[in-house]
Amino acid sequence: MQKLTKHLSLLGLLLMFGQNEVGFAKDVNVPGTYATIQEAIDAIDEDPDEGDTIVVARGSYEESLTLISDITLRGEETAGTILKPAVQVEAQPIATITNLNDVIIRNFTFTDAGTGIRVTNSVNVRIENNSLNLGNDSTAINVTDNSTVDVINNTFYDNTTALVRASIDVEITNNIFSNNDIAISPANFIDNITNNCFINNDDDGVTGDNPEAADDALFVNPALLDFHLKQDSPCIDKGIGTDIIDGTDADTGAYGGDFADTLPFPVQNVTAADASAETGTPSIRINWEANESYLVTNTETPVGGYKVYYDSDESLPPYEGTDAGAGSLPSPINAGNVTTYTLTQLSPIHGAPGIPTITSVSPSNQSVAVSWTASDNATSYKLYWGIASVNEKSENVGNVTQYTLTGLENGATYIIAVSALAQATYYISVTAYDSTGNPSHESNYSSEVSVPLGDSSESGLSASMTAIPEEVFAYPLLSGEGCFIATAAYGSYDAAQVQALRDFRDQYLLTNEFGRSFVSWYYQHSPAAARYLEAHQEWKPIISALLAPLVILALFFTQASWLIKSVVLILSCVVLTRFYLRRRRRRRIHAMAPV
Amino acid sequence: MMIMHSTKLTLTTTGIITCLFMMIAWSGKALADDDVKDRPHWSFEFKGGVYYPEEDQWDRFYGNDHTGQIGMALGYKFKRRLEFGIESYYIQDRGMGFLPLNDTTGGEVSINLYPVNLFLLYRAVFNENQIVVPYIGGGWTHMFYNQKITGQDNFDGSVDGYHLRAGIQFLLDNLDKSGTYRSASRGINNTYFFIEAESIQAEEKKTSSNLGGQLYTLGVLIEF
Repeated sequence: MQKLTKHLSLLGLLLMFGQNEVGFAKDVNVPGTYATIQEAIDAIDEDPDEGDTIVVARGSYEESLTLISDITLRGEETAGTILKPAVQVEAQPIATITNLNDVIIRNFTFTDAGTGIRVTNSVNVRIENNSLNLGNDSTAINVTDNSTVDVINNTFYDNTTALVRASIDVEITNNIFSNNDIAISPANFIDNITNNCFINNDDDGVTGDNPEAADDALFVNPALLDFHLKQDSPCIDKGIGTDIIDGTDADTGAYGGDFADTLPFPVQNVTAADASAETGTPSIRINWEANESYLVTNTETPVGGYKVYYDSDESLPPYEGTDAGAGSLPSPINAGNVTTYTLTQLSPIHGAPGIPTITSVSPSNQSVAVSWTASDNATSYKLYWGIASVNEKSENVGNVTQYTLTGLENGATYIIAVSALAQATYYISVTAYDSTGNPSHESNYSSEVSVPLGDSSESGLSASMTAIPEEVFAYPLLSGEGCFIATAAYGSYDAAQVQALRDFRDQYLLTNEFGRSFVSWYYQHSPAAARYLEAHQEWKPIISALLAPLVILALFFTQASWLIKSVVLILSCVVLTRFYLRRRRRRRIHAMAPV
Repeated sequence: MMIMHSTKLTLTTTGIITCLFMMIAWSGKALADDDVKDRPHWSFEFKGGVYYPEEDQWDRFYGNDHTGQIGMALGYKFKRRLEFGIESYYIQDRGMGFLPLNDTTGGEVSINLYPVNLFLLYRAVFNENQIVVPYIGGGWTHMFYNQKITGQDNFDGSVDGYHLRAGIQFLLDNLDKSGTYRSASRGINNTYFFIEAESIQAEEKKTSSNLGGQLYTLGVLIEF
């Protein structure tokens, strides 16, 4: 009997959970389960359960959201989960709540919109712990009728109108209204406005039963959307209720009350440099900007501080370095309440780099683009190039597999090779934690910085390739500047000899039909001859010598005055005539001479 | 070899020349029939299509043997069937240049062509409600060009040439009577859709490079 009862109970449970109509509130992640917030909302709308929550990861989302009933929309980190409208027009709110009930929007930053949230004909809506910083011609929250809305612990900063409410059914508690044109509109409803900070607004509208106004809310950095409060902010401990962060009276603004984001703002401006020379051991000095939130810089015990994460093997978290302090300080290191820290006694090691292979050389005007394969263990690459030898010049080009050598001599044949360099590289990030001692109150990672450290080793040189940088000609050839053979012979398109020939062409050849035909023929056939000349450098002096008389003639015809040309022409005629006559006389004498 | 110069007239050009002779033969009748009262004098075209350059290695350097073109034309009808006017196109392509010593392509190059045509056109229109109107014409061309090579100096210039064109216009007025009435009240007499083939010859004498080509075009023409 006992066994039967047990089985019936199990069957009942199975039936209960097997029913589609019966479900549990669920958390849906964006991105992850769904790519966009609206996709997640639509999916929940098809299979709704009371208390469904959409958790939105850090990131910037450009969407115009249409919400549904019985849903919570929660950001992972207030300052880091940013909502912008899909279409930036005044009539398009970021979030629209119409004819709904039981909607919660929590822990987001709204920015760059005409309207942040619009509520129409809805009940039991909570908008809490958000930052709303929409800029010019904006309304942060617009409640258009008798909707019942709780606006709790939000920060309204730099909006045209922070909050419009059509009735006193909109309760306004624990908010900060700062630097807005109008804080609350219209001014004729004075009830249900409790414990808010009104600071430096052009027009507060109506302030209700509130703490005294001040001149500055002392936000940490509004430009970075960090609306945490600095030490001595007038908005600390001025709200109703308790702060989840430190258990004291609630702050006003986005970081106060029961549902505040407990993560400090990520550490900014982290830099790191090799400090081995100063310490005498392989070391890295790290600096960062202080997090000025009073929850981090609080001078009361315990104080907040920073943790340094490092790894010498892989970029990005989880940063599992172990060698600092000769192995005694594995990552992360609690640096305390400082803004500089030095990792000392590191043990930088690296593998031997493989030899890369050049895959292509692409010459262009005074430049050659070189591509090569990536090598094992390589942290950067070194290019070698030269005309007589590949070792004439070299440059460390960083961790890339393509590089363009510039400033090269057109017409010269360059030999090019590449090697791989390997050096230990440390990847570093810093976090901030607050003064509560709660280990979960630690910020997200700062931007990562990397530092190469220790000796580097170089692979052997790749097989070399050659390339001839040269001027690029557009097709079809319109400029008539292709003195290819002369360019090859004299080494540069800009050589004076080449210019002389170009001038002759322009002044004497292109002015008549025969000359134009010759130039056209030359442009068709000379590139092949020029290529032969490039491949057989020993011919260059000979061709240069053969071209010399042509160059002198070209210079004479293009540079000399008409008087000199006439004199030279007459003298030439006289010389040739005398030469001709003398030869004629000799022939005649030979003919008359007795055999 | 890369720098080859194609100066032969294409089949399109030959066809257009044949039509031109027919146009001249027809023009006597055209002038005799030109007794329509309140005929429109002006026309404006907006058109676009493809351009096939005469130079035969275009695809080697620009990746395709044709490119896009758009154009406009303004004509004045001194007779109902004869008009003269001016038209211009914008033709642009991007690709790679030529490196003669390496005998390869390289660098980044763009070419812009702006042919400006002064034309005389014959339109075989005998009735204001004639739905299909063939036309043919030609004239003098002045081709402006501009070549840009990344990292080097730009090169600009212009050359003279000629062009021939022929096409068929389709009267759109009967498709929307109310629209036609509204257009007429604004001074627009007729609206046509047209298809057209055009051949331009414009040779750069220095290098014997022909910047001309064949243009195949769709467009809209309004008469006012």
